[in-house]
Amino acid sequence: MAGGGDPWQLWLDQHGAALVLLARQWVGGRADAEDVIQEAFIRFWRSRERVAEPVGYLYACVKRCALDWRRGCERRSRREQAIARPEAESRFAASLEDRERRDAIEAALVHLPEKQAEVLVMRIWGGLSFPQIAVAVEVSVDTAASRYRYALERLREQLAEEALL
Amino acid sequence: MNEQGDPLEAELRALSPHVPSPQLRQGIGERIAAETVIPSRRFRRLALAASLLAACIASAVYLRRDDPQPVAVTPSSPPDVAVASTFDDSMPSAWVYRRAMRGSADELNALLAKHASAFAGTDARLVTVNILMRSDTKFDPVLGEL
Repeated sequence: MAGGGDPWQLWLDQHGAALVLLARQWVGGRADAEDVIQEAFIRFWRSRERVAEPVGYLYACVKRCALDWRRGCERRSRREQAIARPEAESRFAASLEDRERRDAIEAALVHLPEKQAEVLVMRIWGGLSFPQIAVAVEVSVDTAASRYRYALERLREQLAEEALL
Repeated sequence: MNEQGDPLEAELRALSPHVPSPQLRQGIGERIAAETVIPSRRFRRLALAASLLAACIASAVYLRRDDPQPVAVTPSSPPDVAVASTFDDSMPSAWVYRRAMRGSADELNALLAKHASAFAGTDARLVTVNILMRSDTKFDPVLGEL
């Protein structure tokens, strides 16, 4: 990490990777996702002191900007292309030794319902608590926890199917 | 939640998403730097405008103090005050009626009604006749004295 002394850099160091992953859920390409994150981060930085839960607010900003981007750029076809070729631009660094397993997990993630995938990303890679996720996706804490549980179950099922093939 | 021991969860955590590129970091840094500069420019402009305004107000006050304007005295106000203190509104007189006529028809009617009711106990008919039957020509000398 190229962390700096500025407070905003600490925020980016801590959440940047998860934000990229989250934005790619709607945006697809990494470069576009980073454009979205830049816009969202600036929006977050201007208002961070006026919100009660800044971490949740940061993720909410990214989601909002990504959805705006998708609406504005006819992203659907691009996203479908990205889903069709998940190997073209991996969402993860090659940290798992078993590359096939990594690809299977990535493909399963792409096919998760958006509402479950966003909660999973925030929880696993963003390290957010359920109350923070609840703020970010504007649902109750119980709903956030349920979506996380459903996401794990669905991933497990998809990976099991993948293993049988 | 018992996902702490979930092997799938552990496996997911082992996956590391890509960190933001240096370009993203640079872009955010530049924009945040620009946002912090803009308010200071705005503040300087605001401070300059406030200073100019304060200077204008100060000079206006200073000039006004050096050259005091004479108090404008309207010619009609002192006589009105004097006459008002001389004549009693509760009594019918040419002055009070002329004054009421200068106001409005309603004011005149109100005055007439007031005087009529005030003298109703004594001789309202006489008062009414005296007021309404006298011609304007008879008022003129009286009004001229005012």
